[in-house]
Amino acid sequence: MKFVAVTACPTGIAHTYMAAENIEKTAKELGYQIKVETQGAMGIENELTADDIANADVVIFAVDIMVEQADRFEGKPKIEVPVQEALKNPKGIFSKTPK
Amino acid sequence: MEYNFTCPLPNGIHARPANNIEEIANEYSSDITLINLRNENTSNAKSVLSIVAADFKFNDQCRLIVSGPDQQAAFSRLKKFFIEKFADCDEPLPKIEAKVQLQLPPSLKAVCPKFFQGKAVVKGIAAGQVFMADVLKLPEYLDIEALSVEHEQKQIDNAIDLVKVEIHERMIYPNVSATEHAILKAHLSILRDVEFYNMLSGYISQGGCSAGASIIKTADHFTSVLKATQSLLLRERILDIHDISHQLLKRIYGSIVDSGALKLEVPSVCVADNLTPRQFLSLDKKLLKALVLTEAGETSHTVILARSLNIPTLVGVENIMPEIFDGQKVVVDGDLGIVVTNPDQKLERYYNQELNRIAQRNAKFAKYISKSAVTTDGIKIEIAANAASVYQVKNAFENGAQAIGLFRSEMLFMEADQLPDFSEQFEVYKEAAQTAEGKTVIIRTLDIGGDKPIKGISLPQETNPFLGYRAVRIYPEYIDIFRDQLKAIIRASHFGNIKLMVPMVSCLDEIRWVKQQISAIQSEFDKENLNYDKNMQVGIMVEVPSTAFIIDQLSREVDFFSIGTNDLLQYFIAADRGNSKISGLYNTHHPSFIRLLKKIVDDVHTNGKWVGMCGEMAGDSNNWPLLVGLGLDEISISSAKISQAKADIANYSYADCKKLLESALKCADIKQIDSLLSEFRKSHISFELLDDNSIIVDARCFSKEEAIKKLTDQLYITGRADSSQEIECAIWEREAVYSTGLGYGFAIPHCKSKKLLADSIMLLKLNEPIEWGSVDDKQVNIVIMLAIRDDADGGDVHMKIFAKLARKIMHEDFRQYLIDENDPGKILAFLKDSLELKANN
Repeated sequence: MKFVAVTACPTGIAHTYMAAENIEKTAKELGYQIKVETQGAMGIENELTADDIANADVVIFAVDIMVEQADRFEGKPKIEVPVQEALKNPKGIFSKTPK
Repeated sequence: MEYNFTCPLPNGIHARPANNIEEIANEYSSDITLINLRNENTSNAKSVLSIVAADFKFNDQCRLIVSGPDQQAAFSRLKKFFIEKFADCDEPLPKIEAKVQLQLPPSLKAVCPKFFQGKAVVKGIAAGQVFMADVLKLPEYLDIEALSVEHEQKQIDNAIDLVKVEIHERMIYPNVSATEHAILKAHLSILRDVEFYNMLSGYISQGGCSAGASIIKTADHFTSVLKATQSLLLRERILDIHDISHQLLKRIYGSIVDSGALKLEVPSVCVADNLTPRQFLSLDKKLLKALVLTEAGETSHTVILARSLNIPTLVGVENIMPEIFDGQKVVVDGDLGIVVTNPDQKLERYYNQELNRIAQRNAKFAKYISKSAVTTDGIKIEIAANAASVYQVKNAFENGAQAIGLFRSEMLFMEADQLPDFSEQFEVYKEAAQTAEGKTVIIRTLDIGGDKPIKGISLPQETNPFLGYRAVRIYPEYIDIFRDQLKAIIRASHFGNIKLMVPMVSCLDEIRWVKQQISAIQSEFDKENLNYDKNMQVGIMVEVPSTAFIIDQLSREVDFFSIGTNDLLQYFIAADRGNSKISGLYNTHHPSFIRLLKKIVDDVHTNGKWVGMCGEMAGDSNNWPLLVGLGLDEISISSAKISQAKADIANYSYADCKKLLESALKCADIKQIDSLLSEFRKSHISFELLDDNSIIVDARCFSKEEAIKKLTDQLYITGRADSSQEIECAIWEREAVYSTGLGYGFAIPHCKSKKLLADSIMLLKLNEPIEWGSVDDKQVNIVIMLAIRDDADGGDVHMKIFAKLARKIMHEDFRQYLIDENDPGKILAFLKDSLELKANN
């Protein structure tokens, strides 16, 4: 399965990146392909392209704030969780994958 | 002979105007009576107490009656006074400010469920056991039978004479402070008061009272009268009457009367409704840690004494009396203005942390106290201090001041009940000069009017006082007061290095007139063979913009200039500094203002004189490089900032500061200059993201609050921030969204803050884990704080490192190293290595 994800926390200093790292790490353990875009204090990094999104099966939003340019993801199956979920129970996020 | 008039004084006839009346009345032998037709109170115009007691209010109808041998002269003199001068002798009353709800810092709030709020009149933190002191009470009655009227009267007369002699003796003690001197003078005036004396005698001759009973009754009478006047100023004087009455009783009856002395045995916080100055002086200052007075005002004599001895003092503390008792432990926090009772261990820990924070910050800058402020390329600028009392002069030099750049003489006038005369002022200026031990003390002559009224010189109401009758402009009318001050300054110049500075000069005539007065006094002194410094420098404040265009002419008259930015700015930009609607305009970073400053400094130097700056602009650390760039010879700032100014300036080169000035002169608006200055400072005060002071191991913190305070305090201690409380609050605001406890025993509190000078990472390893509200419910023993400047341009470099650290922390091997390693040096090296930090990152 292919995933794309966006992480974004209130200050954009720490949790955005911790969540991104944990999601990437967990995906690897579970044998999934993933690309994670961070929307933090430095703005959008590792930006998801239209191709990335089109090729993904599922979109994960681990966010506490509004996702920037959310219209890119219209029509895709989505899993939306608070950022902390990515720290607490990253595997659980992937198990929410719509079947 | 009678004269009727209406009381023109908005505050009624208080001590000051009464004093003026009494002084004139006592020059004549006629009976002089002043009647309040509203309440039909009759008063003896030769007694301040009696006039005050008649409770004359604004618009009351008054009648002056004079009869006696010299009635003609007395009557016409007093009538003239009431017509021409009386309206001007009003006095301002102390304002009682509405109390604002106090926000405690989060670390204190967590451990301090209850506190009593007051108004801090002397700052500082101190703890001790409560010592409840009663207001000095006179015995309700003395069980002493009156002997003959003659005998009792003689007792009173003797006692008054002896107490007078005692006071006179104390006044000439070599170590008596100016404050104490003024208090003694006030006491003396009570002893001399005709009506006070008449009442004492009356109780003896007509009431058959003993001397003691008559003293008590007289004191009671004036106490109740003064209480009824509703004047805070007068109510404070009740203590002085008690004090004097008590001294008289002691003189007559010795040890039968309670001594009133207060004896401390352990480190104490003295709590009372109020204390007389003598009670206060009787307290052992080694054991007196703080003072809590529920009813004293800011101008009470005891508060003035406490300030001069730097004893943390709160006044106006409400509702504390029923809940406090002798021997109870309390902490007085004169920084926040609170009293905390029964401090537990947690609260003690907070205050230990707080004291440690202050001490360590001072220690960091302490090495600069004895140094000069020198740029990296060897240019010096003198760092002077502003002061308003001898105590502040002493404090300034202890903090590394190289001079007193501005001694505000107004304070001397504001704190006294009566205008300080030549000898009182002389003593203060002399003491200041001697305290300076050869360093310069620049004494500014009286600067009143507009925003700074004082008792005794009451200036007429003006529609626009700042553009009106003030400072040098009033000197010709109040020539006697001004000459007294000049005499005191010139005479004191013999005892040290005094310079004299004149405020509000706007044209050549004014300073020429002042110089004539100075010369005249100097010639008088020559005739009397009195010593003074013949080379005493005379300078002016540059605060009226017109002076900036005649620096060449002024330079022929004066020796130096000091730029008073507060007034200069408001006159230059035509913006009242008290008007909040235009507060955006009132800003020293107008490009036009910087250009004005440059013109002033350049013109002064072209004319071979020196120039300093003593306004608020000089105290802002962001401005220091600009002021160095301008080429100012001196800045005068508050004592607390001196060592920091020296430390900061040591980071700058004069060449860079000059370039900074050039850029500022080209800026188009305030915002550009703001960011130019803040960027310059931050880029020169360079801290690595992490350094030796960033790793704290083996720490004992009992709570999340303590741990966060420890980290934010460290930012302040190391100079990475100018204050720490705002950063502490910002961290807590972020914690309020959700806890930064990320699990595995780690927490990563973080914030953005404008108060930071340098982006910072701090790591704290705790001995014992603490609760943090982590996602895995585990306690935390490693705390990594990330703090980034809110106004950073190009802060992305550091943000990338923060992001890298945030990612690293999700990896077990990274965490395990930090768990296992306890050597701060190795942890620092490991972090730098992991984050690929090079020097200066």
